Amino acid sequence: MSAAYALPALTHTVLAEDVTKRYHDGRHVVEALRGVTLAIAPGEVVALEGPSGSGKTTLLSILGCILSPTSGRVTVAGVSAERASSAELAAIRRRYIGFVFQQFNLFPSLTALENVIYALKVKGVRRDARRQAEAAIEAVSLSDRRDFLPRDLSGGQKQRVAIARAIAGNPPLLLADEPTANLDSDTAGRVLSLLHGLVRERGHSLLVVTHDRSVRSIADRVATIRDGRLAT
Amino acid sequence: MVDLAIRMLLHDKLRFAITVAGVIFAVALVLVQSGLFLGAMNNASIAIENIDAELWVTSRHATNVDFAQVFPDGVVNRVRATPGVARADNLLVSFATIALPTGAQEMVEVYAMEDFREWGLPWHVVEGNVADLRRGPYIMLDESSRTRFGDFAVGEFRELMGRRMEVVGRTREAFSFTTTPIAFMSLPVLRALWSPQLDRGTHYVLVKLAPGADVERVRAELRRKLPYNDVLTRAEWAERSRDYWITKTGLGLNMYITVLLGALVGVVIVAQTLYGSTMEHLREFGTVKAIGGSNSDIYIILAKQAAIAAVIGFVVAELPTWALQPALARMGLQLIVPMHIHVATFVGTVVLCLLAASIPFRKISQIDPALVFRS
Repeated sequence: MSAAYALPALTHTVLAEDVTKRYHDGRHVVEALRGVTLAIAPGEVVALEGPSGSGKTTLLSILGCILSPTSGRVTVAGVSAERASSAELAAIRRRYIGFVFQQFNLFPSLTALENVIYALKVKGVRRDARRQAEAAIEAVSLSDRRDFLPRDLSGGQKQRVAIARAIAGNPPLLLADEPTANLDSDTAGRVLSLLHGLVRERGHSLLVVTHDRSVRSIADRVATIRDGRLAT
Repeated sequence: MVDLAIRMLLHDKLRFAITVAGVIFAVALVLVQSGLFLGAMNNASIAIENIDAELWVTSRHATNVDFAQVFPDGVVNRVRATPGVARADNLLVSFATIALPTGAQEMVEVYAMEDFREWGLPWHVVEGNVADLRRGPYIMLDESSRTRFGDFAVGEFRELMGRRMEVVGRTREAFSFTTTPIAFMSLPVLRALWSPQLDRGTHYVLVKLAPGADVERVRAELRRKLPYNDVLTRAEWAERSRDYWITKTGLGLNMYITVLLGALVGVVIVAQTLYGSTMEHLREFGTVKAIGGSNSDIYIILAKQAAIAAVIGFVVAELPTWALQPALARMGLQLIVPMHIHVATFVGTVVLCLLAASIPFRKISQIDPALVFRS
C-alpha cells in the first residue's frame, strides 16, 4: 500500500491560525468561528466535537478549502489558502484533501468502482485511475461489491465506498464529516476501525467532525468547539 | 470509461426522453417548415428555370411569372430584329376555368406558345407528343392536377372556359407557387378563349441568343428599344418571382417566425428539462466541486448532456422528415431540404442546446460546495 501523497517534511498537514468566520443572516452578523487555531500533524487523528451550531462544519469547510475564512490563515500541506481564488482552492482540494461525508454523496448513477475512478479523474489521474481505484476499493474490502450501484449497497458499504474515494490518490489530509451518523452502532464501529487502520497504514492526517463519542477511540486528540471557540 | 454526463442522463430515462422529444419536435418543425417553404419557392421559379430562354422580356415591373401583365405582341418583332437574338417567341401565361366531370369548376394555369418544342416546354412529358398541341383545341395536363381535378387519361375531354378540349398528353413537375395545376395549349387556342383581351397581346417574350452573342450587350440593346418593358436574365427573373412570394406576401416572415418558434420551443424544453435535472442533481454537482472539480468540469457534463440530446433528437427528427416526403408529394406538395439546410439545422440544434445548458450552468456555478455537508 502506498503512503500518502509525498510531501516535504512538514510540521503540520493542515494549520489554521486565528481563523474567524462571520455570516450575514439578514440584518444580523453571525460569528461562526472566533479566532480558531488548530494544527494537525502528519498521521495524526483529531476528533472535533461540539454541539450543533457550534461551528464544527464551518471549521471543516474552511480547513477543506471549501469556504474562505473572514480573517486568519489556513495552510494545507504547506500551501497557503490565503487570498486564493476559487480555482486555486479547488486545486488544493484536488491535490491534498479527501472528503468523507455524512450523506456519503456518492454518484448514484456510477458503480462503487466508478465513483472512485471518477474522483481520481477529477484529481487529474488519467491512465492509472482504474488500477488505483481498484486498490482503494480493495483497501476498504469491497472488491466483491465494486460493480454495484450505491442504491444496491448498505449504509456501511456506501460509507466504505466514500472512504475509498477519499483515500484514492493518497491525499495527505482526510476530512470526515459525521461519518458514522447514518450508520447503526455495529456498522459505525467497523467503519471507524477501517478508517483508523487505513490512516495508520497510509499516513494520512484525519480530522473527524462528530457527535459520536466512539470516535474518541480512534483519535489521538479530541478538540472541542463551543460557540465558535476551540478548547483542546 | 466513466462518463458521469451520460450516466446521469440515462439514470433518469423519462426526463431524457422528454428532452430528446423536445429536440425532435423543434428540429422536425424547422426541417418540415423550411422544406415546404423551399418546395414552394422551387415551384415559384421552376418554369423559368426549365424554359430554355436566356432572356425574358416582361411587362414593366412584373412581379412574378404567375401574375402576368399584357403588353403588345408586336414587341416580339422588335426583339427578333435585335442583333444577337437567335429566336424570340411570345409566351402567354393565363388562368382559366376548367369544368370537372363532377360538375365542379376549378382554375387551371395555362402556358401557351406557338411552338413549345423550341423552348424545352413542357420540360417533363410523361405521355403524348407536344407537337400535337398545335393541331387544335388540345391540352396537356400536369399529373399534379389529379389532386384537385381527379384522375384523367389521355384521350379524355375537359371543358376550359366553356370550350371542349381533348387531353393529348400528361406532364410532370409543372408546378406553380399558387398550387393551381398547370396545362399547356397552343397560343392561338388560348387567344381564342380569351378573345378579345389577348387578341393583340402577350405576357412574355422569350429570347434565345445567337451563338457567341454577349448577353449583356443584347440586353442593353433590348432595354433601349423597349423602354416600357423589363428585360431580365433567367436568374434575375427567377429570383424576382421568388422574392415576390417571400417579401411581398408575408410568407417569408411566416416561415422565419415558424422556424424561430420551433427553435425557441426546442431551447425552452431542453433548458427546462436540463435545469430540472440539474436541480435534482445539485448535491452531485456540489460533490464534484467539493472533491476539486472546476466549473469547467461541470459545464462539460452539462454541455455533453445537451449535445447528446441534440444529436439524438436531430437524427430521430430526420426520420419523419424523410418519411413525410412521399406523403406530401401525393398531396402535390414538395418538401425540399437541401444538404446545407440539414447541416445548418444540425449546427443550430447543437449550438442552441449548448446555450440551453448554460442556463442551469449559471445556477451551478454559483452553488456553495459546502452544501455537501448539509443533511
